[in-house]
Amino acid sequence: MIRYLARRMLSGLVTLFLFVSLVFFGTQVVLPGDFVSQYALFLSTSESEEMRQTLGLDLPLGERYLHWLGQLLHGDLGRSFSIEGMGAPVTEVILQTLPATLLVFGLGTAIAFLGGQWLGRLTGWRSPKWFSGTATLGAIALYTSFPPWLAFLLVYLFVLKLNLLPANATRAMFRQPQVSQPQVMSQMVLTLLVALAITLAAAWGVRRLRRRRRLPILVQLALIGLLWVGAWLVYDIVPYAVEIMRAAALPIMIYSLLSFGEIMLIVRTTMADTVDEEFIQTALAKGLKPAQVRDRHAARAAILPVISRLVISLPYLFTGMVMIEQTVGWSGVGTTLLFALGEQNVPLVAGMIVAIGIFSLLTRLGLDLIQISLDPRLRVASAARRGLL
Amino acid sequence: MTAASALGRLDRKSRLRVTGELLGKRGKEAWLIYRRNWMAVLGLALLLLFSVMAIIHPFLMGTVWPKGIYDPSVGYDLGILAHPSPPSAGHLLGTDTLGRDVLSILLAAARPTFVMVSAAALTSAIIGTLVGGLSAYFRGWVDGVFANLADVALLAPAPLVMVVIGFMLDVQPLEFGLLYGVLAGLGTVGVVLRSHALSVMSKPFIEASRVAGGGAVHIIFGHLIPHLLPLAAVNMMLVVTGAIFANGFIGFLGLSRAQLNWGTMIYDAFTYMGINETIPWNVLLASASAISLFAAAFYMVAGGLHDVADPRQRK
Repeated sequence: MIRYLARRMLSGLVTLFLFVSLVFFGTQVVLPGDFVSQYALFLSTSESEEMRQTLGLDLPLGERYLHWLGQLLHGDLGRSFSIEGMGAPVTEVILQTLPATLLVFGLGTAIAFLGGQWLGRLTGWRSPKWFSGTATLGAIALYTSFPPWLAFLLVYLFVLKLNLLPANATRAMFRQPQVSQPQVMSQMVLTLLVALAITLAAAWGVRRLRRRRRLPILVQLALIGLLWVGAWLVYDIVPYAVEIMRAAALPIMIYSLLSFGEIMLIVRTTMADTVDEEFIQTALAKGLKPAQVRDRHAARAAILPVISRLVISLPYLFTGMVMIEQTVGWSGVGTTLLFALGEQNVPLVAGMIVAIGIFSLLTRLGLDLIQISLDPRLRVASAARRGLL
Repeated sequence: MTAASALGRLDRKSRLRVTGELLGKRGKEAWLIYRRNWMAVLGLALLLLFSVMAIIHPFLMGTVWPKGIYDPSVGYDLGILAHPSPPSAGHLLGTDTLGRDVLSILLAAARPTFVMVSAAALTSAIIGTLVGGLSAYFRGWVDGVFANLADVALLAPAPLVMVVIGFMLDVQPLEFGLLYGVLAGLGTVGVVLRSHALSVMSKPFIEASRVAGGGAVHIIFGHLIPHLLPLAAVNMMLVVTGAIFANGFIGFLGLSRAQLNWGTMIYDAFTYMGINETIPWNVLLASASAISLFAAAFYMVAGGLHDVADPRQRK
């Protein structure tokens, strides 16, 4: 098991490295000009040359690559380009933008997954035809709605018409120098993860202590929420966190609506396939209530393809995230990456892709783990490989 | 397999006739299954509507619509004072902020979108089937190479890569479709088809074919790939959604260099909103629903194809 994960991680890192190298050459060979040439209007020739020298752009491409590689081996992603020579370290830029994206991406995926799984379970399981028909059409409409358009509609409705939410992350509260927005955001993401871990551990403990009793999903959600808000109180960031959540509500809503449709459609299809399986007939025949069979037997089997499908869709969901960030003006990883690409800020682009790649590798490993823990067949297979069976 | 062994004993002419009858029978059965899924039928009808839209535009431009007023890029109706104007008898969907006929742009953008989408769908299906089939048959290093390529393609999701390329280069619809198809075929479609091909490879008939002396080419193209095709068709349709979104997003960012595109319509609507402070709902609604309906049509057709490919649906 651990060997398998280590092997996956290693091959993933090698792939990531090859990919980043490809990006490094690709952005500089395929695209015309370089970082300096876009300022050609404001700079004299000698000034441009000087700037190229400070940035190291006068060296041959191979040498630049080796230099960057040497830095990378020391765990240094280099410094971002800027007009005044070298800008901020890339690691710093990543640490400033990643929390904002993670907050929206994580919360949005969680909401979409819970909602989509619930509705898909209902529609895939012998529900009246009009209900499953409308729900499916609605899900298709959400799945195929053009992200910028949906974003515009929601902004129009909630910001311009109903005045419920701020249009953008207002920075009024962050004027005081001792608190920075990225710092609060990263604290929020971390505390959310901790709350999630505590809740999962509690749910597991309850199941161990009292057999066949489960913590209802609503209690778990409430626990997560309480723990999260409690953590804000401990860190003393409540007003800032509330402000951020008000600004984040819009992107989270757009993102979860967009992903919700896809997840619901997958669950519905797999659920509809499971209904005819023999073990469902057996469970029904031995007199279990249909709702019990649906939630305990069918849904547990139907969730597996969803998770393996999620591994594949994750990058696509992330692309949707980039589109939303760009449309709503949420300054996260996506907007920064697009901007850096636009001005050929090579170290920043490469660094961002390393960060995104590592994040997606970790997510895929996490999904693998979930799949193994949910699917008894995989557990048996891995035990057999280790010679335990 | 009795039909096949009987075929071997017939002469060439009657063999053709029997094969034709068999195909016709299979086609009829497939259509009966497809027809049962009303959403799939709706999707097919929508696709027909879009193809009519794509075909009809040049004819309309040649006959009913005067060039100066209805040209999708530079047309302007002097008869209307305030643009954007709401739908009227002359302009069925109204005009946009720049005074162009919305219906005309909508129709004109359908053809390049079709070209792009067909290229993307076909390329992804062909590459995905080959990648899945080859890596499931040969395993070993072939599988390893394709798995790593797929990892790269999953790290860099095709829509995002296309946006990045669109940032810098002027990509024509056909090139866009081909590139997108290669990326999606190596990535998602290849991954899905590979796992399906692995399960096909463990079926007894592959073993039987091997025992009978079938070579690699015979098994891959005669047995393995025919079993992958239905799933490839389903995935091909799903690729379309991503391709449409990526293409539309490039247009939405204003990067499609005046190519006719539904995403560009939205971009134009937002960009020129400042001219007279009105939100051109007719433009936004028309283009956004065109994108959504087009993508939805392919999704629903994919659902129907999924039913046809599912052996459990056959009675």
